[in-house]
Amino acid sequence: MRYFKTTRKSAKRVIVDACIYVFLGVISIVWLFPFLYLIVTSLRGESTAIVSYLFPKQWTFDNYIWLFSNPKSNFVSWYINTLAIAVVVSIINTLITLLTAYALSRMRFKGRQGLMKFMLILGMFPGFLGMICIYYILNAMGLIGTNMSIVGLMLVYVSGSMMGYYVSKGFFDTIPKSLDEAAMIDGASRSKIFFSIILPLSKPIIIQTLLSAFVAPWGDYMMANYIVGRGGSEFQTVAIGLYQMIDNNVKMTDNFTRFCAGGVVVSILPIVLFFFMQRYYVSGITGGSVKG
Amino acid sequence: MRQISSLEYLSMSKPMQLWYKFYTFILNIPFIIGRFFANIPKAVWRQLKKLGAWCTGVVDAVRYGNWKTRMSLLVWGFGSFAYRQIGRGIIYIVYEIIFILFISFFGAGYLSKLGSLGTVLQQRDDLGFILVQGDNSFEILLYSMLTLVVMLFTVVIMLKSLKDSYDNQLSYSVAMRSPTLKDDMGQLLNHKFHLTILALPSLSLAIFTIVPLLFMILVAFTNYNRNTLPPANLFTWVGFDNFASILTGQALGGTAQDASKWSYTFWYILGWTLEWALIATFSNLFLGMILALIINKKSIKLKKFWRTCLVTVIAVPQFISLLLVSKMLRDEGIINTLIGYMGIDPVKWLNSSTQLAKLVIILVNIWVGVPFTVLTCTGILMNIPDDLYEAAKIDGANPVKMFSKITLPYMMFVLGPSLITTFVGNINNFNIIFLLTGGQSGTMNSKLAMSAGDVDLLITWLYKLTVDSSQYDMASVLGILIFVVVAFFSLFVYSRIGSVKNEEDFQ
Repeated sequence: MRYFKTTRKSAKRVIVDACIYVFLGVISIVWLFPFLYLIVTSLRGESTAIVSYLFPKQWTFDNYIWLFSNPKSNFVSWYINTLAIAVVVSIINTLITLLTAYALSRMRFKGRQGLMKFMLILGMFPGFLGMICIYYILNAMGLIGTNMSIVGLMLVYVSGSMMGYYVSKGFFDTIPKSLDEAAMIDGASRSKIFFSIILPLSKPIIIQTLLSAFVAPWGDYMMANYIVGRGGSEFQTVAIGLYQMIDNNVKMTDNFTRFCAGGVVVSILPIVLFFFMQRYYVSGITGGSVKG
Repeated sequence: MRQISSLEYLSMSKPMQLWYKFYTFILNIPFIIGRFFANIPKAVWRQLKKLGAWCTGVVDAVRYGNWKTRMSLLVWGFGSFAYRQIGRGIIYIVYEIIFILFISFFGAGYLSKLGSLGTVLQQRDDLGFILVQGDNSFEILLYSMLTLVVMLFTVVIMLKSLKDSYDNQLSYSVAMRSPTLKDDMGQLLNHKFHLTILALPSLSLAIFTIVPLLFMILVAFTNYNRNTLPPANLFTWVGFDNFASILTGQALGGTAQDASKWSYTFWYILGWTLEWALIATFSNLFLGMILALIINKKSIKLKKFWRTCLVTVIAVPQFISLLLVSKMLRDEGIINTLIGYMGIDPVKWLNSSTQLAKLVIILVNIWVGVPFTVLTCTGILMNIPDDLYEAAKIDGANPVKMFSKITLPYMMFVLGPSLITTFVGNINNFNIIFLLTGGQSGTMNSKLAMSAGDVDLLITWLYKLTVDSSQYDMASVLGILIFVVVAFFSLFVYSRIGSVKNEEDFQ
């Protein structure tokens, strides 16, 4: 009797699990389908326009070759520009964020609370609001419309990084203060404590900050378009360049498969980085708040 | 509803208890808001008191300081020189000279025109050559703000020099020695390390965030738009006209028709923005939680594989995935082909009706956003200690009970505070609306003001007003109103969570 009951129960469980597997399978297909479409379209040879069937009649790498070698295509300079921005911004951004977070978490100085509240309020204004003013300032500095506009865009991305202290501060708050005190008794200065005690303990948060700052410039359209969108094509980033490649119907006919090829190339680096560092990414999201 | 005793509460059935809790919460909302606003004067008073305490320090220095100290109000760093702090004294005096030069050759000229924003119109001859350069309202406003920020900073420096020399005076009588420049430098790496590390970021924050924001806030009170573009034209102060027309539709300046159009558009878009933010936040939260629970179910194999399928969306830059999806949803796109195989007629997903476009936007947002929730929830679920479940099992709890008493509260505890961040993020979610639809579905709504589309959010409308139609005055008003909306939701929550208050608890 008992034997009978357990088998019935497990039979029910098998059915439930089977349903779940089917459900997950469907979900995965739905979630991955656009990327499958992106890849097969980038390999299509017979037409560069959008077509109403999925698999190409003629497989080819021509779209990729066009992107990298055709004199009309500025893809390589877009990619280099974006890569340069991403590298510079992520390094400076991480440095500023961590140092700010350290000062706000560990040191007690006059105006600390005020500064934190001030930055909180500042962060509630839409970042795009000050853009025409920033554009004017950058223009006055000679950073618009030339190959220096990339530097201008870097400045825009870096300038607000102080306000992103919040998650890192939450992380530093969980590192025991007794470590600092012990070091101070041994005669270490504040700067020494930061560089040789706190930093080595903060690997997850460093990687998370680096990663998110590195990935952001690849997907930003709004700011980048205002600063570099109206300059020469070779001074743009991938987001602007690829957007303008298909922004009307005529260009769609000429460039859609090329856009897809560009999308594949652009995605490779962020995807690799993301899966490589996914672990840290999760701990970055939850690390600031889970204190169980 | 009358107050009920705890005995009555416990004797109610479970759904009734839940209903009671919800009902009292709704009833309490006015009080919560009231308490929040009642606390504002108290907070302001506290800040003023702090400022007052600081000022008494300054007054003390003037009252009890000797002539050397008082002299350093006029010649900054005088007190430092007098007590043999040559390095520090030189820094002060050089700063003073630079500041005076800056004000007299640059700042004063702009500040004096701030009241009118310029009076001399640019004149050109028939060929377009400039005869009279004229005033540039834009530069006047921008550089005035810059000067004001510099002046504020300078007041702090000036008072610092006064206090320094007062401190010198006090300590010199005791120690016969004042700290040298070398001591100061050492302090900058130790007890004053925060000054070192915050200086440069603060400077860039001031130039690229604070000054532009001050500027744009003031632009909201001017008529700076495409009819008054400097340098060819002048713009000027108009007071609260812009706010009046966008909020109430009453025209103080301009035409009444325009004003009512602006205000109709604003309230329409605000409504859709809040509706969107609410639906987007909660749909992602609940669907993500359910999906995370399913994937993390004990008997399910290949957990990592399922998760990877989902989170690929996060890794691909949004402008690619969203642009691609918008092309897939076109009339001749692949989605219509696929449903054609199933015998369904093609649908105009994004360009037939407002309602359908909104629905599609929310569905696509689920596609983009749910993986974030799944990722976060997975992290949380892994963090729940197993012994909690074991203890519950020993006490005879069934799976449903364990879920509602352990898993759900734990998840909500971590996700709760991040909800408001997500909500605010969704209010300002530029990418999905702009890249997917450009803010416009197929139906033209002729009641909307310039360049606004029927599925625009406040942020995309702001973008269009700035980039496409050069309505900078209205764009600034809109920016300030976005701030008000965001601040309302955030402050409300921050004041209730109080995580800022007990930050010392974890150290």
